[in-house]
Amino acid sequence: MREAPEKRIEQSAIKVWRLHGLIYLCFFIVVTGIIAYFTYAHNWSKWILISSSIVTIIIAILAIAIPAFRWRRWRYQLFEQEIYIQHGMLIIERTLVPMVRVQHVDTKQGPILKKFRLASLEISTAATTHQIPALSEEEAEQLRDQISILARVEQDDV
Amino acid sequence: MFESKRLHISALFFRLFKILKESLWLFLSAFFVYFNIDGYEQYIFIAIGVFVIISLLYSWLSWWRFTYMVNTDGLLIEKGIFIRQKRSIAKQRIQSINFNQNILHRLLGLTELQIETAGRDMKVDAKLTSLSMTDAQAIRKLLKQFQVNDEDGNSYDYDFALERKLPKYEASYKHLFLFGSTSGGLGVLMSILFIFGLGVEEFIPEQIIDFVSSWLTAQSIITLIILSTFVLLLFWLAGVIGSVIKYGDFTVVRYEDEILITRGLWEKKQLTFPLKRIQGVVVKQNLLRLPLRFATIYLEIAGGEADQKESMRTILFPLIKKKEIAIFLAEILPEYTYMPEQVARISRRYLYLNIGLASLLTLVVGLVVWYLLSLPYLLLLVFLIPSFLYIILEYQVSGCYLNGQQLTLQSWGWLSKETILLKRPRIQAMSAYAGLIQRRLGYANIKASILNNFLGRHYLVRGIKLPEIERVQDWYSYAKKE
Repeated sequence: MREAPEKRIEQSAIKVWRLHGLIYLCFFIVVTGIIAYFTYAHNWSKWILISSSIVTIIIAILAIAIPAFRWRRWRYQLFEQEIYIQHGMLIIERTLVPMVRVQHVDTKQGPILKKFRLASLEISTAATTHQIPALSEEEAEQLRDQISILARVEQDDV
Repeated sequence: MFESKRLHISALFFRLFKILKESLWLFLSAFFVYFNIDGYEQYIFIAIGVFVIISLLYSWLSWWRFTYMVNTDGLLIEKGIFIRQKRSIAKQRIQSINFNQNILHRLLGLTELQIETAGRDMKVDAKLTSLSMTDAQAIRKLLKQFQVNDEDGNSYDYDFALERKLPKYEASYKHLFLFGSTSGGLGVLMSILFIFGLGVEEFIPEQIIDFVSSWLTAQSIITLIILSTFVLLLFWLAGVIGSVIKYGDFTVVRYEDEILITRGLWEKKQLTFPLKRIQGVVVKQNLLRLPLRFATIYLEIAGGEADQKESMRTILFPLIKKKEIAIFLAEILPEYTYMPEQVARISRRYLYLNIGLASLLTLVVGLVVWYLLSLPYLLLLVFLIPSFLYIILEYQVSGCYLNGQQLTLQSWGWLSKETILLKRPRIQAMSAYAGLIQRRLGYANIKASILNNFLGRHYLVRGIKLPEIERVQDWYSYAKKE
């Protein structure tokens, strides 16, 4: 297999992903809370509360641990003729996207990404879409322009 | 010369039939009401009558308001009863012009003309449902992008292609018969009829059901076996007849940069595929055809009909002997080569690991089942043997091979062996991926994405050795290593 790409995404991606995880976690905490109420007020079986608490705790641990792990794996590199992306956690995937195949590039930014002054880049070919999740705003915009210039080379049909 | 025209009047009836066909369930439920509720008979008949008259009026209006005009730039269509819609299709953007003829078309010397464009926007395509064959051929001649400098200027005509002794293949009825009997359609047909049977039960009077079921239980087992064999035979026959009707008179011709396919007994289709729309070639052998050494060849086509079915692939040839594929491709599609004997095997460690994992999983599940439900231990074999067979078959079949601009991938799809021939410029993106254990064992999986119709299709081969993966990546990479 080829060597990994060189560049990493912004380190604040970890914070963003943790925040996402926490929002997700809130939902589980609320559900567990409701179950706790029913357990005491309506004599539900204890096991429902115990299993739901275990699930919540596991999700809390994962929400804290996974982002750092994920960040470490995320890499990309831009060549003149192609984009090289690596991502994954247990299974690592390395993808080559030739510039001639790129149909359009988008930058995207949700409220959380905006707060951290980050943006994600989306590269689309006729058959696939690839994402580089957390780049600094300037970097994302620069990459977007750069790719759209490089992709402008003569396209063979489709 | 360029004047706007209406479609042949039969287009009106095709439209009407289509509306009536689509509202068949409405009629069915109306009759259901008719048989079950008294006192409403006359209203139902009036309602159906009004509905048919409105449909007729609507069909007539939409026929009346639909005009087309061909000029030097392309095709201009005007349609819409209240909201007028004008659509112009530039000549340069037209990629395929196809003829479809159902039985009525053919009796009246008419055809449906279908125009496909290169764009990813399916709304740009056009369909002229009914016009005379001479008109259709004139349109095709006018809209043809590359006017080939032939003396008669009739270069695009299908008969012309035959006269010129161009590379041509025809599917024999013997092979179509075999194609029908070995297609998985049998099972699908059976399940459809089964579901249909469940639904129909509601409409059949109870006396008949009672009679049939009491008759069935009164029969001996031998009669029942004979009966079910007969029913199976009937299904099989239906499958064969279906595929003969659909693919009968199958002919494929190569003419310059285009592939021309004609097929169908009931509905005759004339399809044209320019080379640049072809994204890949798939040679597929299902479980029944594998031991018989027969295969079906498919094309992966970009763009096309939005409502296309058949798992979105186009049949290039329904059934061919495996040893004849190389010659077939050399004549019809020399841009692609078929060399399955060159395909490099995947890693043997992949085989060992999967056999180990399958055994372990079966053992654990088996022990739990045995402990909880006290089922016999031998039952494990029921799971173990098929999974071993599957893993070994996958190992036997899978692999990849590079040759010039072509990547050949071979893998085990859904109960069939697939050999996929892809061109480097047609692969939209390529990924290699592996877990930690897989990488330690020295292999990874590869995924090549191509465009099929309007969506992506991803071809995957598991367990390829790491050096082989690197070779494929270097081959694909546009940034060559110095």
